[in-house]
Amino acid sequence: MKEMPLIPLRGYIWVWLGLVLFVLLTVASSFLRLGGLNLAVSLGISFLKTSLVLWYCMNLRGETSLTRLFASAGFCWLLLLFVFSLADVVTR
Amino acid sequence: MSAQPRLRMQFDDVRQQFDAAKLGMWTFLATEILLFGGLFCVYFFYRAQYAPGFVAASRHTDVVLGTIETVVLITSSLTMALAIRAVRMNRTRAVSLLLISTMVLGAIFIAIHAREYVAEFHEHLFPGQGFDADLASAAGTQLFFLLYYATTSLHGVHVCIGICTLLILQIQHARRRFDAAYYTPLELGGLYWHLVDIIWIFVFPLYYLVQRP
Repeated sequence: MKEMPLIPLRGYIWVWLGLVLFVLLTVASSFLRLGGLNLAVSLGISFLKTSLVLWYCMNLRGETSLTRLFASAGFCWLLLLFVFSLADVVTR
Repeated sequence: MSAQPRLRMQFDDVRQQFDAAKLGMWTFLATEILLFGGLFCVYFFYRAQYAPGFVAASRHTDVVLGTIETVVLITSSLTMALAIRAVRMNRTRAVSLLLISTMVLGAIFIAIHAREYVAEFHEHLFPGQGFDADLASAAGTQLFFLLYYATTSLHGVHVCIGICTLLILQIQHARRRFDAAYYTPLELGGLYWHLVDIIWIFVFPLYYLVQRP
């Protein structure tokens, strides 16, 4: 089987360190009074962490376009669910 | 002895068979994303309505244990990714060691969460008649804890399923079923494990970090 070249060990360690750093950042941000921005910051960091896991740990970087499309589909349908469900509460 | 994959008749080659298996797994993971997505949607719906209640209730969750759990789960994703890397390098012993580490980290996560549940029961943080009277005076606090238990317990069940899956994979690996030429089940098990980690990446800030004092 032809595969993507292996990521070196230190590459995975960097990803892990990045993820841990993001955890600490998101905890620290919850102690700041940012009003509505608290949620935006913590969700933004969660999206960054998710991207790291998807790209490196779940190896989307080495996948075919079709697999990447399937992987994004779940998140896209979720976005539709959120937009149409929450349109009601945020426009009251 | 090489773990030769069996090429099924509908595929041209082993690579295509491997890609098809991963495509199937991602389709299943999309259904998992939507399962938890429904719970997150309900969460946002009520958080928009009862913002002060959600802030007050969230302060009663244990942020220290929550942070430790998050780091434990992230580390288990690292060991899982390294297990796949090791199998691609035919490092049999490293694969076993990394798979077992992943399972142990998953079990530690469950143990810490069980400890949290016990503490929360003692602090009357379970919705219903015995719910903490002070906290119950703010609207939405019981709903917060109802969603907290529903989401975290469903996630915990997923971690347990992940541990069982890895255990089966480890048994198969001990029987020399996987090597660099064939490790499809390990790859799929890994994808599941990482998705469970991603779900926690969102559970953690939404339930533990709404706004701390």
